[in-house]
Amino acid sequence: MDPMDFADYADIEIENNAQRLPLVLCLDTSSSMAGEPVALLNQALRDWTAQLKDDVSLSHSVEVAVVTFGGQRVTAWQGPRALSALPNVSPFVPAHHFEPPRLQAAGVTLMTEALELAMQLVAARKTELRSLGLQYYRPQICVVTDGQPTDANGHATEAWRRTVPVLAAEQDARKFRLFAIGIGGISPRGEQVLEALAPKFHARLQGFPFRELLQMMSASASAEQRGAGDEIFERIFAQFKTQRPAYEG
Amino acid sequence: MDRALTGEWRVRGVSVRGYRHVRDGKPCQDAHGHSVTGPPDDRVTVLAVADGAGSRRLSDKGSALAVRLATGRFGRLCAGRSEERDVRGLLFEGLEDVRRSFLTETGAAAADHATTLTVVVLTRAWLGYLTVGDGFAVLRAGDEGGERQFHLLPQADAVSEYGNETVFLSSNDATAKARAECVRDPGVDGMFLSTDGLAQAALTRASGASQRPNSSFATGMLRSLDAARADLDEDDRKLTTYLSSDQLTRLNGDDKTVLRAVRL
Repeated sequence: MDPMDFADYADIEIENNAQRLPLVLCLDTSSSMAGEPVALLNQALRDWTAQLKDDVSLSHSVEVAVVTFGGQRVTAWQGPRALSALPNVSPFVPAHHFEPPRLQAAGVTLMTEALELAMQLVAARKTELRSLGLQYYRPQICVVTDGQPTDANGHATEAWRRTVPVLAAEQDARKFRLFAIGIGGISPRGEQVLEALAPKFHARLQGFPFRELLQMMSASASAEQRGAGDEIFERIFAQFKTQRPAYEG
Repeated sequence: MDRALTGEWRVRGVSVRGYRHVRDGKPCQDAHGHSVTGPPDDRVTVLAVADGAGSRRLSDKGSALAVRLATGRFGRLCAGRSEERDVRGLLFEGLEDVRRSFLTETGAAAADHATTLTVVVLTRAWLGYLTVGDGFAVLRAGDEGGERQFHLLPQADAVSEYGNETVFLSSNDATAKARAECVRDPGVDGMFLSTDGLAQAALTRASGASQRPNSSFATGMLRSLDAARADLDEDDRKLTTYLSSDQLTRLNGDDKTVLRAVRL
């Protein structure tokens, strides 16, 4: 569109105070994701980033933070930059400025700690947005894993159970929407964990459909922006699940 | 009061389909309208904008109905009432009338027609403002150091922590959550009403301060209407293009409406 078409209005000064939609990708980068899975994840993140930037209504609204659980710790990423263990800066980056990290896979599956960090980050970002006088939509957290939560020594742990009541209360209070996706060869046990964490939006998918998963997050963000009811989110999620039949191996 | 408000206003309105509705092949769910009633020395001008809920099936019909009812009912109700002392009471009476008819006409499908409604009634002595939901109105009155001053009329309280959630005309608590104000200021000589699709452009949310009008936006909205020889159709076309521009879509992909009025 030629700005001369609205010449009389072209000098109006506006601020970027788009209503924000914080989105946390909480990604498993433990050793089982090494090789092709993490390569697919990195490629999907790059493609998704480009699509987000092209979406005029999401690009200035969605703010992306990445949290990984792999190696020996949980890491928050501000775009491509890994933050220190106790970040004092926000990892959220507006989609139009976001560059994805290049992730590597190794180590243990500290999923419980990652989810707890994701919740803290969302709450802190809301406080920050309010102090900036900016409105926001209901945030989205998406946890993606191919395994079961472990402790720092890589042993399966039941620590995730402590987050179940917290997550349930937060989701009931509509503090955020949580999506929990099992991929690759996640075990039925691993799937049960995801179901307990996200009773509404959990799935177990064959392979590593990161592209579809990220598109589902964008579709949900768009639905949030247009004020869709819960049934629309359920439909988007159901559609996402059936595109990739649940792993029956 | 130094001088009575004249009853004559130049009114123009534009609603444009937001990016998301264009992309999804949906209609514009915003509506606007105005009415003028009464004799020349005691005119009543009613301005109304409405924003149909994005998630509801018939909300484009709902917003159009709300505007039609509001411009008609408030016009009749407020005719000859420029001496009214209890303007807020009068406005709530009008709201009840509009709601009753809205619920009757939409029947069991009332929730499918969910819409916000923002109304301004202009008489020679007072300005009445009533809003259900997140529409808003900005007035121009007075100047400071040669700069025209703009004032945001109080918005209805937020219903949740999320900026996109609001109350609708069909909601049970519509009346309880409605906000009404009366302004008796002969200095008011311009205004615009908008739906929330323009909140990010028209209002500024500077750190720590309460929300206030973005003067640059408000000035831009009213200056062409002030010009005595303006080609108003051409101006509407330009404004439509501006409201559809990427610059505004990036701030909000929703439908956008601006209903402008300047005193003649």
